[in-house]
Amino acid sequence: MSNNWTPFSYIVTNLARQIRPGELAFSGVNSTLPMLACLLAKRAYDFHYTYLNVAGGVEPVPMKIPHSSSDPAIVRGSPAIFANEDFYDLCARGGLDLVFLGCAQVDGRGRTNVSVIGDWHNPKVRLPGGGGAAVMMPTAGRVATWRTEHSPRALVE
Amino acid sequence: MVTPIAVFQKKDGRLALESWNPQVERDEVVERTGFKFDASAAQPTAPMTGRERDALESLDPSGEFAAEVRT
Repeated sequence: MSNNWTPFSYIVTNLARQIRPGELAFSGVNSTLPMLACLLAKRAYDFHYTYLNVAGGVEPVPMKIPHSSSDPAIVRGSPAIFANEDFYDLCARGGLDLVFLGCAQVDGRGRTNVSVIGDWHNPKVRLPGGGGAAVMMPTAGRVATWRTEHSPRALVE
Repeated sequence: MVTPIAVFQKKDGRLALESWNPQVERDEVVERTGFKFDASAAQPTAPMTGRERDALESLDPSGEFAAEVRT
């Protein structure tokens, strides 16, 4: 098998490889690559795990893969729907084994920046903010994050 | 932590290199990373399996998702 990775295939496949048998894994908003990773794991790996997504779907079987990871299309086929408060509560109770959370920067200790670039009071760039990361990062079993850019400005000291 | 060229895992409170994309040199990962990390146990990333490749192809048959990933 040749090693002709593309950035896309490398990220999606290696995010999928973070999922372990029997886990409950969650993908959030602005998380198309983790959504694809979770769906890849369902199709490529023999072990069972439970996939829960921010659109509320549990074990979805989408007919068409949406570009947005929070599109209702990613709910299709779900036997149950989780509201936002349900999966935050589940995470807070230790029920989410793996969550995929985005970031703009990550440091050597695995801490992520989703707030601002530069001074807090006069930022060079204002970022979208963490959404549910503030709740999920400290309470999930494990967190997987990703960046399509690998540079000193994204992976910072 | 996954990027287009590396996979890091948390080890003893810091991100450590687990594997790197064999299409780059390991030194390039070091040069392009702003933090120091342990790479003593790192190996080249295992290639995609046939099933992984087929699954990815089924998810993105026209390459539209791949086209959106710009590094």
